[in-house]
Amino acid sequence: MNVIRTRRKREGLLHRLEIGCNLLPVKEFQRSAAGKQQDCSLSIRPPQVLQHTITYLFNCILPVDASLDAYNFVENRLRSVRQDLFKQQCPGHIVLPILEPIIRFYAWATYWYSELPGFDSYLNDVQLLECLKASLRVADESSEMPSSDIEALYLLLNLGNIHPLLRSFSLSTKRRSPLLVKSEKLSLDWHMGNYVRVCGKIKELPVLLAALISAKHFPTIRRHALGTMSVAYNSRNLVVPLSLLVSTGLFGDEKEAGEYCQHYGLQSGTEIRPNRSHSLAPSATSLTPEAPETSSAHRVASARK
Amino acid sequence: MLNDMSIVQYCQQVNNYWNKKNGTMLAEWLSLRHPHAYNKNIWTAKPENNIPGYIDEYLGELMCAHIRCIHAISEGDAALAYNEQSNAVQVFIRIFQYYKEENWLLPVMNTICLELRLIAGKVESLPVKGSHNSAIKPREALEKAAETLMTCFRICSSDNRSSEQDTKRWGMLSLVNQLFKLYFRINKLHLMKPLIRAIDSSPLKEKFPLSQQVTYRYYVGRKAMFDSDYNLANENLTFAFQSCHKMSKKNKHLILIYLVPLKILLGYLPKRSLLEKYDLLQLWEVGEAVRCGNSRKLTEAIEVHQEFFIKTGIYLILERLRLVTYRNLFKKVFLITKNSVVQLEDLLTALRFSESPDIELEEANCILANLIHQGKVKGYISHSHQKVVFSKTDAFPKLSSLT
Repeated sequence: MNVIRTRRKREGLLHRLEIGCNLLPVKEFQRSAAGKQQDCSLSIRPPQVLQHTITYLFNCILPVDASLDAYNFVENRLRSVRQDLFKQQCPGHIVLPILEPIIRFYAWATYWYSELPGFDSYLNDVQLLECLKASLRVADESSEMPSSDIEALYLLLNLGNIHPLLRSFSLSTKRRSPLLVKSEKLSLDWHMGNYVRVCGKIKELPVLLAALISAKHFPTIRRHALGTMSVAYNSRNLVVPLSLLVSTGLFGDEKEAGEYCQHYGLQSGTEIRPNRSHSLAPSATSLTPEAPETSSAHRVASARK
Repeated sequence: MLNDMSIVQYCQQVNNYWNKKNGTMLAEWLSLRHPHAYNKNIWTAKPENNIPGYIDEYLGELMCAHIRCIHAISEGDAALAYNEQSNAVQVFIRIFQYYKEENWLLPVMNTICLELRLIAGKVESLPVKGSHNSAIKPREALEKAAETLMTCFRICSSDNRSSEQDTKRWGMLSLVNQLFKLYFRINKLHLMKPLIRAIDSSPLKEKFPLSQQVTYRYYVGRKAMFDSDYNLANENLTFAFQSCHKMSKKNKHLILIYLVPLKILLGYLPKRSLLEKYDLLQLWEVGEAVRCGNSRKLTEAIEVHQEFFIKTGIYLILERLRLVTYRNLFKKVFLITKNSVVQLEDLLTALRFSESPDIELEEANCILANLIHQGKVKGYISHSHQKVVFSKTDAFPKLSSLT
């Protein structure tokens, strides 16, 4: 291990978050590739060291620097942690306590960095899903109990999708915690298209789960709601006040609702004119390429803090 | 007679059918469920020395694997039995490929493949003994069995040169059915798609035995239900139910587990006598709740038999009936008011009465908006007047007419 560290130091490969007072070099992730030499047993970190590594990354790096660069650094080092962990084929009671904080990190990043230019939410989601599946697989095979928020995260990441729902229903009673049951109901409500109930139930969830839904699914929920309303309230002379959108819980205030409707070309003053034939495509006059949904995502979580 | 038979006599018997190319009888004598499998004279872990020299080499190997499998079953070692049956299928595949443009071995293939699947399923439940304990995991057995069956399927489906009478393609549907059962068990439904395509494009599609067609349509219907393609599911499950033999009450029961919720979703409510006949009274209360438009009753009916609904995989489709329940409730309000313009407050009152007193006006709006959006209700909501204006003609179109 020391040899690699010395080599990286000598070749100037240390990250800025690895140089300086109280900062330590952390083993970086290396993709396995043809011709690449496998790690020798000495360079694979045992589970206790991996646990210390993630504690160090979360307690010493992220609180000091939460920039995108720091995210990329931590994300890379966490992948390396997972790589070392899976190589050792550890039992469930060792794997789960290491994987679960990593999962929470990715879930938090989905929300926290969602507005930052340069943040690749797709790659973050891929890693999140990979970790979730790995931890649930380990839990299934070892009959270890994963934390209830991890089961709920998997369900809510795939909100409305029937496969995670069916999986969740088939779990033993012991594993179906109240939080998971609540998440199941929320996912079912979204499966049925009941956006009012979804918006109401999001507020009852723990902050991390609420933030994940806000960042990940709120745009789709709002789009569905506006699409449904365009058909249901469709009449030549009638209008719908923006206050209805606010009271359903879809938006924080009328200004935000107005911006959003304007983006889809639905707004007319303080009211919207629903139109069945409207395709809900972003309007040509809209300045922003994407609807301003994430600002509301921040609102949902900040209101809860 | 069968109980006294020695291994040599057994081999002679099998060899006779082999020489006569009698696939049906050969299949029986290579089956684990045939009476010879209970003959203790045959139970041996090393049958190689007892196989007469005049027997074909491949057939000898097949019989050895078969006898070892019988022995493992008698010992209660499911994992070993699975390995031996898997070996038997591997040897059979070589024989099957050797006999080009001949299909007399199809009954043997059907039997040993079916039994491979059954043993793979038993690996989970039977006690596992000996050193083979760690050799194979339960799920792995099912997955490997599916791979083996897939090899047989490839041989059958690629036999294009033989005449229709002699083609191995006659074995495709039976294998596909076995594979479907495995895919449902291991939850890999996406693997069904290429098989469905292969059968649907086969010229023999309508000519396969009806019993196999019923099984095939049952699984295609279940998959379509899973994919929320309810019309396709209805078509296939209805065919399966109507074509299923009237004496196969158990199979009809299995088909109805999926067909009844589907029919309710499409607006057809089952008669109590039908549900009683096929032991499906769990669905009666569900149907009644939908008919009355009572969402609370629906929740209760689902909760009472929740375990059964989850196990059979219809829980989600029953939840989907909630929208039909709301539609029926609103229709009742519409009929009572005898007016095409109804106060939203009236709908809210009905919802509060039939579901929960906590429901707010926004949610009533949302439910109604979803129904209008999906075409289950014709009309529009006037927010400024707090009214809903139902269409004067056919405000509640038949659910079966909706696509």
